[in-house]
Amino acid sequence: MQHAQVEKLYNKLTPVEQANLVVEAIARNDDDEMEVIVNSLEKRTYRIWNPEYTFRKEGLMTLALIYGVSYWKHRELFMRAMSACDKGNKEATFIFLQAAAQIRGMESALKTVCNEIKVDVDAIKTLADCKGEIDFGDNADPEIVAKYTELFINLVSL
Amino acid sequence: MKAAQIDKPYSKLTPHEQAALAFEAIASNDDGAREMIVGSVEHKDYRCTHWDFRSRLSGLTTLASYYALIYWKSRTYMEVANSKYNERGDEADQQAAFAFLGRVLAMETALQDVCAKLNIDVLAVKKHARCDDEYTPDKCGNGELVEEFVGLFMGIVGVNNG
Repeated sequence: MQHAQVEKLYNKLTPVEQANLVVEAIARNDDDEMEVIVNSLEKRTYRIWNPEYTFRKEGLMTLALIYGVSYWKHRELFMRAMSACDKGNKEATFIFLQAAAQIRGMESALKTVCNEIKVDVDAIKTLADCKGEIDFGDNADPEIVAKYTELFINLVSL
Repeated sequence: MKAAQIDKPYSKLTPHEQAALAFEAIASNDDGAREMIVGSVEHKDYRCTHWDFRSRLSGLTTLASYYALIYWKSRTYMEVANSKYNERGDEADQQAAFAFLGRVLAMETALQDVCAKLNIDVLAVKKHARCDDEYTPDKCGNGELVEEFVGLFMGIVGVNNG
């Protein structure tokens, strides 16, 4: 079916159905379908808070959630690898060291980004549900820091 | 930046400064400060996608992130409790590990229920949550806990679970 025809079909869906399809298309990495759906979306004029305010606040909320997910995912990996090490699996040492390095890199990147955009680091960590958790120390790997700094800056710059 | 350190009216701040203060007020549960900041934000006419679309999209992505956060946190605590049990054999640690496992199972069941209600593919949400390649149990879990998570998840997506 041609794009124009498909677009007409998407037009018939409710905005909620369109949003569901967008989420499913993103999950499948289906950029073509994403593009067709986005092109079919109805636009309206709303009186809303200044978009710069709204996007920054949404970006900060997203940053906190992404930081929390990454933090806890690496913490879980760290714990699992450490248990495997205790049971004599020597290869797991590399995994838990890597997980710790990721957490150190994230921590360092978060401090840099929060300093740049003037937001309290603890506010991010509170909403990431990891305030006051184990400190993995300094000496973060610059490459890992750079990767997370770019990601975090992008999240708050939408 | 702290709200108390601001020596000019909120309305004189830039939108980014207002957003930072509002965000910090949310993190510290300071509803008074949050309301004052939000009340000072300028309104503008803005042409954008349908409100219902934006609201559902934002709700689903927040649901995925929130699900992932509590999933990985519970898995971490389960691992800590298991590790302690293996080390010292205390049954309380084993019970704690079971409790965290129960939480993970209840979340999974609740997510399946919520996705069915919202007519969205549960795997799509789990893919956003970066836990789609994890072990998926059959639907089970403590009924009350499942209901609690269903209410929480529906609230995040902004749908009344009535």
